[in-house]
Amino acid sequence: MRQFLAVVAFTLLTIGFFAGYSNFGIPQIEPAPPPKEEKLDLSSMTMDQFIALGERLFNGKGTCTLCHNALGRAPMLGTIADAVPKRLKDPRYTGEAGDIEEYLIESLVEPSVFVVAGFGKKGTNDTESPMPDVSGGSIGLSEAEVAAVVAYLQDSGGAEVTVEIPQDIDEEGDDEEEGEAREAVNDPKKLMAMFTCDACHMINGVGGDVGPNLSKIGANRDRAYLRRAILDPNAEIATGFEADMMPADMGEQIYVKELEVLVDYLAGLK
Amino acid sequence: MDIKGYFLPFALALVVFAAAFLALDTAVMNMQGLNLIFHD
Amino acid sequence: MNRPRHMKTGTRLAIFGLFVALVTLTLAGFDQFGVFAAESESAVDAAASTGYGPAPKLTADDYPTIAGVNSRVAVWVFAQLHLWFAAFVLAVPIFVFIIEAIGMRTRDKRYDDMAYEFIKVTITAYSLTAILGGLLIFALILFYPHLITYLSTIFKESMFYYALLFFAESAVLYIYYYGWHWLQGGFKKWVHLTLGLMLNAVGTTLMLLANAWLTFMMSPAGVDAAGVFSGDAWAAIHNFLWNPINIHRFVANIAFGGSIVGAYAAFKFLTATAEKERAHYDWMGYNANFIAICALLPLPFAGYYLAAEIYAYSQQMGITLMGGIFAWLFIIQAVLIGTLFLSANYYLWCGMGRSDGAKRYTKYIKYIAIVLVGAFLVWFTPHTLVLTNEELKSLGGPHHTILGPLGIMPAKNTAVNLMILFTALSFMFYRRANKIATVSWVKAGNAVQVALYSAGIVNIMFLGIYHGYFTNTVYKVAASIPQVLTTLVIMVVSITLDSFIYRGAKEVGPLRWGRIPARAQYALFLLAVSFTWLMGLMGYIRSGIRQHWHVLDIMRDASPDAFTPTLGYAANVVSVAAIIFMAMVIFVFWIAQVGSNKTLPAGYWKE
Repeated sequence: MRQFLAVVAFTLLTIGFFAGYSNFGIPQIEPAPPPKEEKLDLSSMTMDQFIALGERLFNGKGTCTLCHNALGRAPMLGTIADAVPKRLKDPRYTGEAGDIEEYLIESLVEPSVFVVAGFGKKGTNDTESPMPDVSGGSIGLSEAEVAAVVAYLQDSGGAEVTVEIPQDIDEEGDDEEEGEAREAVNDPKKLMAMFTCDACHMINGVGGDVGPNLSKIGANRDRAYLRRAILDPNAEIATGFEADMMPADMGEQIYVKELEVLVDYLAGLK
Repeated sequence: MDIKGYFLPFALALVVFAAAFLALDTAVMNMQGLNLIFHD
Repeated sequence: MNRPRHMKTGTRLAIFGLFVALVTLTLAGFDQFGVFAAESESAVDAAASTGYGPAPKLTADDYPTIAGVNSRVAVWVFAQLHLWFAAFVLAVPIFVFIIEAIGMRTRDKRYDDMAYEFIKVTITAYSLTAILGGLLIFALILFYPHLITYLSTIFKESMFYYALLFFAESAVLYIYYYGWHWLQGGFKKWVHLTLGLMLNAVGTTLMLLANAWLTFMMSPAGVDAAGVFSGDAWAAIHNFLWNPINIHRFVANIAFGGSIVGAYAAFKFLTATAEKERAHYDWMGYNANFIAICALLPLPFAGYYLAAEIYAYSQQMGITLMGGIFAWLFIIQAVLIGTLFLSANYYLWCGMGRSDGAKRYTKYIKYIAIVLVGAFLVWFTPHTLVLTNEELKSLGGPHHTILGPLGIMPAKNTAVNLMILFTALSFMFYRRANKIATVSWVKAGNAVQVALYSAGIVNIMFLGIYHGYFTNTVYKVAASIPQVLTTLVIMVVSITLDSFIYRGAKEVGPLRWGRIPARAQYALFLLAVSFTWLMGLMGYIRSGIRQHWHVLDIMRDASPDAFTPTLGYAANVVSVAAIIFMAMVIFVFWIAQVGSNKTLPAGYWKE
């Protein structure tokens, strides 16, 4: 019996050690909650708002800027008006689009129909694109959202915006950040999520790597620096990172109260 | 393992194995389309 | 054998086990919390040409609840317990078959007796596996009815035949076990061995089918983006991650089964009173440890292969696996694997005391220990676990076609290779401990062995340091392959060379089975407990990387429990489940010996 108890005690101690180490030996990171499935109110939207929605999707939910950025992981999209007509005539083009709008929609959901030279998957000789179908899986843009992104791409790429705001799609709801008044948010983490900071910045192991890691930003940056970095991101660029990556219009989007909440939060990350 | 007085077999074997491992490295790296020594 | 004593111990053992199980079940059941993260559109009616509908879009209301029961924890614990027992009852027949064959070849009855004792232990475990599997399926039907409905429309055939195969499995197992003493000698023994082979064939088939269902949830195939099934059941079974999981589980099951029967032998050793009994269980513990180590050595490679395939299937799932919060899980894993290697080696070193000739090698043990601990520390040091922009750029894409996740850990790869190599060295010393070589070139042979290990270690370090730190990511990843091959070459060549050096060798003396300190048995317990816990942890990450999906990218988890818990929370669930499992295993071991206990009730029956 004594042996038995000794073995039981040993077993419990071992399991206790493993559990203790997992609880206290490593940082307890609260993973982000599952993303919400967005719903849009399109009926009362102007084309400018629709393009702005496309821009938000492009920078946020669509995760496009993870690759379509100055680092050259994917082609830049500023010259669409010139580039697309040439691509449609290119013998390597395998799609069925007739104009810029159709081409853009096609390239979002079927990225491999035309792969810009040098950007294909390794070993496929530019026949297969590494880009996922944005309407599928984990990005999951709806038909209306794809249209909004296309509107934004046409607008920013110097082409005429031909996309129409879809009206017949039964989607409702979006009371979030629609231009005018909204409630100020007091939770810094919600703010980070709202402005999709984590798409580029990592905090405690969660987030992208396009911008500097903010996990310990408070240790060597003061509030004044952080405030400026949010409002005027290109004023000073951290070593090893590119300018013009972070949206420069944060000042038009964030409330003063929220800015202070965010700055306090960041300054406290040490 | 006592190798005193048996330096010769040790040295010989060391050279042979080192050459063999180097050949293995080179072969496997070449199979992956690379060289043993890094070229950018 | 002191029978009354055994029974007393056993009874208390069972009561304690039941108590622990009840307490932990209650605790698990009342642990309830929830964050509502659910909203969903109404299910789309898309009656496709195949006649199958799309995967349902669920809301939080689609998940029935029972007051006081956390449905995720309930399913989690049942699944984990079922898996542990299943792994055990699948693995044991594999090595029982091999041990029986060895016994037939060597005509050494000890092997046959040991094989029989191993299979005896699995009989009760077998029915527990079935009971726990039943609990799991009940819990799934109760708490996740839409998921199980969706899966069963796709896997209806394989589920049906899975159930039928259980009859075959039971029938073969019972004949194999109860017929052990009947089917002895000559032709009958061959019949018995064939039954063992059939048992393994059916058992492995069962595992492969169940693996298909769970890998479908990770890497769905045979369905379109909305989840409409094409009707091709084989495509759904033979999905992208099926074989990587099959291989990984097959190898891990053997290591796990070996470690559990090792714990059984250790306990019997500690409680044995007769010298002969101690010798028997020492020998059994040694063999069990040997089995566990043999499977443990290739396991990291099977794990890397699985991780690489996950990466290849979905870059996003790969990043979830290796980066973000799960990156820390691999630090916990490093602690566990370090524990496994250290305890297995420690047991070997203690076991050298069985031979009078071991003294010649004991002076080297401390160096092996230093290397193992050093390698363990390197592995355990948190490192950049996520690819940087620079690395991404130099790869020319987000991942290497074959071995994406390996590239980020050259130092850890080097450490693992050295750990495996020095464990192999421990084994070599152990095998040599009781032998004196008689060939004339023994010293030259030893010199060659030293040269082999030296050249190999230098090569592994060269590949790890030069390619790991002075080249780009493509080279880092590519260099891990010759590294692994070097380790394998050293092991194969040195074993071959040793078998020639020790051809016709003299024995120092008879091996003194039983001459091993009690603390060595605790190394076996540590091995079993660590392995159990590690399996639970890795089960969590395997399932957890799907995040808020039932079926990745196809069927969303809309339940309140769709969120990913913290690692501490996951570790607590795993710990509670591991304690329940250990209590049940103790019950299994106890019941295995109860059958041989006899009480003589003097004056009870009329004469």
